[in-house]
Amino acid sequence: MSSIFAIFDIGVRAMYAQQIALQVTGQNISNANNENYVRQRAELKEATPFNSVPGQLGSGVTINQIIRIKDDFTDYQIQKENQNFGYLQEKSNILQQLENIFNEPSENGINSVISGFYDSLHDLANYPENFSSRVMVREQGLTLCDSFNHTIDKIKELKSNLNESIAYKVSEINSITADIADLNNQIARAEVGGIQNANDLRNQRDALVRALSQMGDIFVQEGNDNLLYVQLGDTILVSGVHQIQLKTQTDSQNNLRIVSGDSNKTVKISNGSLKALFDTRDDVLNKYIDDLDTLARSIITELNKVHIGGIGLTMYQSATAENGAVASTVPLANAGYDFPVNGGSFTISLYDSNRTLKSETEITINPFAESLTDIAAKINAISGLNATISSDNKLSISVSNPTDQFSFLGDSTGAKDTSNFLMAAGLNTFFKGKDASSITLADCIINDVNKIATAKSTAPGDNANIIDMIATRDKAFVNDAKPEEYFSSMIGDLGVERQVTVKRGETQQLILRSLEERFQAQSGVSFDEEAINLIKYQRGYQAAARFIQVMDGLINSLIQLM
Amino acid sequence: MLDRITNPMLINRNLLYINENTSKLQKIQEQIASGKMIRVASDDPIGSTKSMYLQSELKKITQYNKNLVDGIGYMEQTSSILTQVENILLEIKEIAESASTEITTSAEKKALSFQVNQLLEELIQFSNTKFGGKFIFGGTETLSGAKPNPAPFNIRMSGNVIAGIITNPAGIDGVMQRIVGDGKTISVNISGEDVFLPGGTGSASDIFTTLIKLRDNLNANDTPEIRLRVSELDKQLNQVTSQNTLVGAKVNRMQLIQNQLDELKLVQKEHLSSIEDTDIAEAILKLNTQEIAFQAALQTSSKILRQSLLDYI
Repeated sequence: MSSIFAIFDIGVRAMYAQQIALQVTGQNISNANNENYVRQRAELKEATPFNSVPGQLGSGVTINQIIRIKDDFTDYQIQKENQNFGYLQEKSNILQQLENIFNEPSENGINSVISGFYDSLHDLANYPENFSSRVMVREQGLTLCDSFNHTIDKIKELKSNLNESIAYKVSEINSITADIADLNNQIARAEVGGIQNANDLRNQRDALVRALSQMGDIFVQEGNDNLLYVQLGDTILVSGVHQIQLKTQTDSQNNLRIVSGDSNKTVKISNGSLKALFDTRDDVLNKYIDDLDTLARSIITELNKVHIGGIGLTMYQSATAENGAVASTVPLANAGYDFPVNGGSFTISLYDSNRTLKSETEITINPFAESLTDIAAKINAISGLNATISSDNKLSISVSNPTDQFSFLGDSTGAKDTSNFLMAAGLNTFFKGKDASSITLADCIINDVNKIATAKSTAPGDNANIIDMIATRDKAFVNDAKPEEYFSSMIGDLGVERQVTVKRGETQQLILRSLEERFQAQSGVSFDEEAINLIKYQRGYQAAARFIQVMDGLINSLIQLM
Repeated sequence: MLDRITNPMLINRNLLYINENTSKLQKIQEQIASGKMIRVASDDPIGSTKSMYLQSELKKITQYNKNLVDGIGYMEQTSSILTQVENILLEIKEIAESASTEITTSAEKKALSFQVNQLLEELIQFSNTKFGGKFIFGGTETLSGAKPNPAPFNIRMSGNVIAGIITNPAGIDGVMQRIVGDGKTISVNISGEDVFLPGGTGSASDIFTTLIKLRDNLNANDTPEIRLRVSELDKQLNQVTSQNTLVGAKVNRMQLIQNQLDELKLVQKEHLSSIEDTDIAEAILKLNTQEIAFQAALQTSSKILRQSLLDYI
């Protein structure tokens, strides 16, 4: 039979156990609003019994361990789904910014500007002699070019912002992994001997992993040593108590890539918000930049082609090419023009001040044999015309007799440039540049609106050429589409892409939400439950105290015997 | 099955419902306030592509209409000048007819000759009429021609009398087009040649030559020649009238196109509106429903979240 004092111990142990359980309840209640908190439970166990006669005697209760109540599989699923969600959310954000840049459908997007430009051409066709309608065409033309330039600039700015976001995310990852490594260290020390669970530290570590999983395809594994090993793609970020930092490197195109600070190997990322940043930067944005470039280049080519075959209200007394060659002596095919020169010919018609034809000369071009110098020599051979080449290899043509004038259209033959030389060099062109970022009006048009080629003859009221320019609006010259059609289908594509991303993001959010709900259902704190626990352990504590009081009475009776 | 309903769940769910309701409310509110269903392309990608297409089409139609109004104005002006030319020719024809009888004396004919000369000057003025700073009968040579022939029809003087007309050597027969539809153009000018001298200077159809001759015939009291002039004038009057009829027919055609465009504009506007405009009645109805749902969510949240066992211990 055990001693009466040993019975005291049962009471003390009971009180101690209830006290611990109450403390755990208190911890649960206080962390009820902590989103990453996993509720804990004090696991009670019978204390080691005595072997005695007539049998084993219990020695009360003891706290076996304090455990976290959570399902690791749910946690793992959340990590996985978080990656998809992070990807879709980031992508949808970026696409939204892109949509805002295009600002379509609206009254001031590129689509309206194209309309406005063609409208101004109509007004010029109605009044080809009017200075004001010519100025209007110049202004609308400049607005069109500005819209292209501005939109491209904004997309490129967005692209460089994405690089900044990548750098920011990398530093975020580094700070998270540093914390994980630090927690690994603390947990390892707290869990020496493997008895206690470092519950609160583990909660913090789980929360960090969850934050990390939005950013990339994270793999985590807990080793036998209770340390968490973290991997991003194929790159190790945390190995035990060691963190391996990520670094960014700038490549030749000024784009950032992520490398392991250890091996300098590029990190392959296949999910999460980082993947979205890379995808949009390298594919989506480039696609829209390319599309805009195609549109701008097609407009430049198609309208210049028509414009070159026309005559303005005043003809040229001197004309300087907008574009220079790389050198004056290399064959034109290799002269570095943005548009290729073909074999063919163009015609120069020379007139006196009364628009009476003096001469009409066809200049043939063999782009593989002839250089700019050869062309200049051919023009110089025409009586009344001089050709020079500037230091930046631009061809200049001028009349010898100051009242003479010339055009690039065959007066009697109506012959146009078949060699594409005028377009390549930029003579009698309307636009200048080669893509959406470089498109602008030809200097010649900016300086003198009377050079807008409205006519196909020297008559001031002739609007035949401007009518041909207007007709381009209904020609499918941009990848088999009309210019406005091409642009609006581009906007449609963007709309679909964003809509799909948003819809998928919403679905993903639902999945994630139901998982989180499952997590909260299991691991979240219920006030009602804790209130019941509170009463339960309070009562337990009270009963144990009462038990001690009774024991005390027993001992008291014993002492009074003495 | 979720067997435990914990506080974070309750709070998250209620927050979610409230957020969802607010965002729906905000969307409807935006649609009502802006009057548009589509703000960005992703709101309705197909709709926005269509809306962009229709907006371009509408702008095109507006521009075609503008071209038509402009062209009609130009042609009506042409027609009124042609009518005045007809009147002058009628007046001259009457003079010629009265002088073609032997009754009129040579002195009377001299006086008539003077009158014809005046009418000739008037006719030349009409032939050089400008509208909006452009010669109506100059073809595409709408501005001053080369010196010494600054107008479509230039007077050649012999002493003090008009001896002939020199037309602008750069030509008076160019065609001015107006675009009135996709790939559809209408020429809006009548060439000076067709009106005044379709057969060329000095031919039987040259009105100026006929008038100069008539003036001289009257002066010379040459009745048989005057009779020849009357028959020439008959044909020339026809030539002017037929040009004026042509103008009238073109104006009619342009007005017809204008009507068609107006109808098309209406149809496309309706189509555009059906795609991008908010149906206000429907939206307000939705707003009300949504508001009720929102209030319900708020009320239930405030009730449920307040309940706790802790209140009773």
